[in-house]
Amino acid sequence: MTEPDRPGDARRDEEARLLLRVRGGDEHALEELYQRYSGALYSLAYQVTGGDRFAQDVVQEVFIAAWRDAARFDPARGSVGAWLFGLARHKAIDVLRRETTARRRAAPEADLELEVAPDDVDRDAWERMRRERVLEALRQLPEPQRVCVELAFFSGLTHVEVSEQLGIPLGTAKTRIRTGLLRLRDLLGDSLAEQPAGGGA
Amino acid sequence: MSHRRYLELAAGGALDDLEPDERTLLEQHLGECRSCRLGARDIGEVVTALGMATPRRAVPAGTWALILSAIREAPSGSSGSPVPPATR
Ligand SMILES: [Zn+2]
Repeated sequence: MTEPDRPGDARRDEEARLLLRVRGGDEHALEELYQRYSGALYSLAYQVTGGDRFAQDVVQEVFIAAWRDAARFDPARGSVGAWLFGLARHKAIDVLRRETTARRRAAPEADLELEVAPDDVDRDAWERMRRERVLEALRQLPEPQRVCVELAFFSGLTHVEVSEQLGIPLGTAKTRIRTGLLRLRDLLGDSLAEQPAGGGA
Repeated sequence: MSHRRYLELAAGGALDDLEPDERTLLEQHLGECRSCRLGARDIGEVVTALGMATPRRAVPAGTWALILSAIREAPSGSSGSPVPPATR
């Protein structure tokens, strides 16, 4: 933890401290993380599994795992948020494996509906603005990269499945996903570390 | 190998798609390269940003209560080590 302070570090540190409290058995700290992340985690799980029952299971499993395995979180390797989304993606893919043999439901680009959120229930203007920025960055990716990133992230396909679904070599799929993420990092730049006014900092 | 190549590995790692030898290479380099460490951290933030950008749906009521009753049966840190002092 000798990295320089940057915007967003305060939030990251605060959430890392929350997770330390979770590790110590503090239910309120877990609830705080639940309040911050459950909406997005549920939405991602819903997107990946395509069902509210499964998505609820995923959210439960993520927070139970965070409770039980808080000691496995390494703040030097990333933020609590990134850790939780990683857990959610894992659990969502597990749920799919368990529950269905028909994983081919995800069309390459059609039904992701990332541009519109008809049942958007989020009330937070800052979050909405930030989301717009991310979607805008996604739109700026070269088409092949965007499709691969969306399939890998929002549809929860493995890299092998992405390559099969698009009929491209595995190496190509991997490269598109990796360079797509790096490009997103460049496009989003400093906004990655931003946080809502009055929230955490 | 260039820093750029290591960042590509970090991107693979962020979506849990690394071969064991790639992971070893990456871990080794991150241990000694501050700029790639910061880059890898930003890539983690990209993953968070993508997650936060998912079109929102309402979490079913009662989800937190289910979690609460589950964790009360499982002590925190039950698969980890004892809790260290909460200071850095
Ligand atoms: Zn480097």
